[in-house]
Amino acid sequence: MQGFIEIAKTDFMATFEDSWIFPVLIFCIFWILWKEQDRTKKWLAGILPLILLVLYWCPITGILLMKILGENVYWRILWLVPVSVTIPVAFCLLLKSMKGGARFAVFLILSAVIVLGGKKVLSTEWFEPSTNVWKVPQNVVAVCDLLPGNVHVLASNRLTPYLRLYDPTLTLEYARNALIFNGMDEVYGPTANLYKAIQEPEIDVDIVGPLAREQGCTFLIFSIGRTYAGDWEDYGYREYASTDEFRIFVDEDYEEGQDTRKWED
Amino acid sequence: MRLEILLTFLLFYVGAFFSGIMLCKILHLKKGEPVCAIISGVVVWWAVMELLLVPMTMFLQSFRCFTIIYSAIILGMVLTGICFYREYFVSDIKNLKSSIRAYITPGHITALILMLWQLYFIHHHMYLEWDDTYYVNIANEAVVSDKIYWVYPETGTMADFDKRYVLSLWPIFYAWLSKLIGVSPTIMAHTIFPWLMIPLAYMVYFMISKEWFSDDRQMQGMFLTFAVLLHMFMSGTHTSGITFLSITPWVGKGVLAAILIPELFYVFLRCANRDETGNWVLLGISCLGSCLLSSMGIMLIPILTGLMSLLTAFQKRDFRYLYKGIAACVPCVLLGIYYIYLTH
Repeated sequence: MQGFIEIAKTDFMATFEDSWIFPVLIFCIFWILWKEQDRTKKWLAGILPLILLVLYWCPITGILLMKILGENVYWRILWLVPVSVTIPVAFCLLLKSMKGGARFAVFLILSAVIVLGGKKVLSTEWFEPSTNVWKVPQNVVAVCDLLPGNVHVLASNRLTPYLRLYDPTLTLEYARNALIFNGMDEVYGPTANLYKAIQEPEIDVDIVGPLAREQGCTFLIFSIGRTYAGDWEDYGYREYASTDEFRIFVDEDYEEGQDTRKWED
Repeated sequence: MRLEILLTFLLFYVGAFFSGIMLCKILHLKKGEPVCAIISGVVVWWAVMELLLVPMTMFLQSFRCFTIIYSAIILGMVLTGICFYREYFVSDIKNLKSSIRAYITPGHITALILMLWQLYFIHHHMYLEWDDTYYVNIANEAVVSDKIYWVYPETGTMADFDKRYVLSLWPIFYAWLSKLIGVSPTIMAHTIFPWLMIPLAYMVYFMISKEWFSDDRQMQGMFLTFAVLLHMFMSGTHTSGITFLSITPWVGKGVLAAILIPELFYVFLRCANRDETGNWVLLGISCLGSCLLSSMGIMLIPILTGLMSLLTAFQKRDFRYLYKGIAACVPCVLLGIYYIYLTH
């Protein structure tokens, strides 16, 4: 029960934080219940959101829904609350009784209520200027433009989420799925060991080199500031190219145009 | 890129319009509502895709094969809309021409300007979504390797079948569009899709405003302005329902939260106001379409539809509304049972 309340509270706060949208919503629900003449509309725009909020907070229905949907995504119930219908309907019901200039003036005031009460979505908190039509970081484009297609790559964590968005012919030794190893003191298997070894402050080439070869990594990409203990050439890798932010190594046995992608069944 | 955006825009909206005309004719829905035709057309595209894609994925069919069959079905719907229902869509166009002046109100103009600003901002900015490494790469993998969902999209290496998403392969929709237009699915999702999804979302609110304030155009415009503003000034994190529309309009969950849930509300409002079989069938089609967008749709949509039906049944003291609402949820329920079978 305590766990349910904690989850419901945290998710609720995350959904409605940094704004006055929720108090506005509650005011609008009661305004609709008072002012809307059409009973069907009153029930759909007024009572429906109220019931959804009750279902969300009620421990009995909440725990049941949490079991159906999953604890991690329980907050998605709040998507069903028709915020973007209830608030405009309530505001329009307020405006309906006015005419001419007064209606327009109140329309501007109510628009200002949303603007000032809400959190600006189109802001630099979430967005950054795009520099390419793929809308991926420019450092990803710079690296991918140097790589040939159809090769197996081991890349820095900064690149892995985006490399295949730009060039899906690449295969990666690990991607976001490897983050699970961060919380483990001891890991098993070459991919996991390779990932852990690369997270060390200084890359031990005597560990990473043989593992990378064993896993068939043709290209290795590390941040330019990384330091290495050992010589890559001892394990058959040489420097291939570099960008402002990354250094790329290649397997010396790689021949231009070769397909080294990795498939596992 | 402007040409690709324009081509995709025309393909999507003109295609959806004629498909919607076909659907409206079959369901005997009201003539003279082009925006309603577009919305109906889009949901029927999604519903048909769900019906086709789930078995094709299960039987490990190629993406090329899917593209040919799905394109043929869509083409068939569009041609049916054009050829056999000419009279129907001519009335739509006439109605649009005659009524467009009535929609030049301060509210409509403000909403349009705000929407154009939103599109301009999103076009020139990017939001780096980590989940893209999974979802957008499902689309990339389909186009590049011709395989639907049996390559692990994050690395491209592991031949696997993650049952969590197999019933909701929304990225294949933009993979299909990108195949037709000839651009990378990443570009389709990040750069072109906002131009499709944002106007579509506001078309839904436009229709809600028409249904709610049918006798007051000025009020309809003001409703639309408030709705657009709420999408631009919401609350909380980037996953707070309608905020998705600006942040990640290409993500299935986002389309579900920002377009399909309001669309379902609109269609249900029609059902409640006019208890016609066609409206209920459209509700069922919308429920099926929601399953394509996200596995969340399979679970959330019956909750919403069931609740709206129950409330309306109580309010009207007529339990046929509840039965019809439950019937509309049947596609979600069946897919939900199949989902449980797959994952247990």
